[in-house]
Amino acid sequence: MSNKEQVFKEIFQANSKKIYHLCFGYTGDDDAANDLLQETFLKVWQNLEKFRNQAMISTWIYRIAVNTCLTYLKSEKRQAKDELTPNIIENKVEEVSEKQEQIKTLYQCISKLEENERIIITMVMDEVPYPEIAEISGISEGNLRVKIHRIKHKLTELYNEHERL
Amino acid sequence: MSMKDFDSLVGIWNEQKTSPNINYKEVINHYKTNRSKLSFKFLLEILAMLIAFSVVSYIFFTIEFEFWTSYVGLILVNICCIYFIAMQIINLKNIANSNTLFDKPQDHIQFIKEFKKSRYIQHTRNYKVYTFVLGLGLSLYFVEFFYRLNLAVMITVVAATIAWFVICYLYLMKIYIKKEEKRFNDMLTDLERLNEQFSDEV
Repeated sequence: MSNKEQVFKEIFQANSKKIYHLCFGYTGDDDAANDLLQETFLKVWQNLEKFRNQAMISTWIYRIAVNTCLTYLKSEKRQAKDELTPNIIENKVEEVSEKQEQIKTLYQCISKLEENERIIITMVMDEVPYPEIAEISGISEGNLRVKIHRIKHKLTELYNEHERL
Repeated sequence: MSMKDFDSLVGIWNEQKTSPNINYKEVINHYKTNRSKLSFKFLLEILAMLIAFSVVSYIFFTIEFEFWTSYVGLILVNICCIYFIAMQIINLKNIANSNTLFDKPQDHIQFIKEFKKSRYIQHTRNYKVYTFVLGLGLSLYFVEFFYRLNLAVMITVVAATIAWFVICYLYLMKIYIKKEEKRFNDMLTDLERLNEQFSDEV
């Protein structure tokens, strides 16, 4: 394995899951999320040399993913689906447990948020530090904190509403 | 069922086992096997146009025409070839332009908007000029043939050329532009909305 491939492997393994969550939260679709993930990491691979000089690699990968999400949705005219594909739960065939139902519901609620809210909240839930989210989204930290507070409230409301149904 | 707070939702989120269906090797293989289909398409078009350019240049330098119009006609046709090649190279460069890679979402959205607009101009206004110059070039080139070729052959050639121009301009390009315009309008509406969402205001 070449050095470049080794570096890429490490970057992919360290970031792909979170980037996938972001893409999934944004599109609400497993296939689209995988496409977006692939497109994001294709750009990473193509520009690997530039990453060597970047202090916070994950920040830049997130930013590429966000930009890829925004334009991908526009170009393909994909919309977040209300009905999520079964892949949202593990591929293994097993009984749908309560936890899996909750995860499904959570993604359904995320899909009801606005595009930028979906992006921000998936990063919050994946514990990306606030200054990093501010850097990725181009929103000042002060404003971001207010936004996050609102999104958290909105998502919790949506979830509890869904639970009550 | 009890009400959940945000921390409970994070708890649910952390329980998920959702993971991508692709691995790093697939990404690398995908890159290696499909090294940018669009770029390849552009390169093919550039190559085809370079061949056309070479043929026109060859005719220009090797055949002695009696009329100056033939030379001017060939020059105009070659200008169109150069324009086409230049535009394709610009498009290729724009696609490969990685300066936008680390753009903030607002800047990225702005870049895409401008890129789409420039493509639109290329397909509408610039195409009109391109068609006009190419048509003029071919018309001038055909002047000499009126005196050299059999009238029936000449009429067939001119009629076929005009028919092709009319089909391209009034039919094929109209369909293409209409399709593009719809896509642009949809895209711009969405981008405007997104731009607002990413504004740094509370």
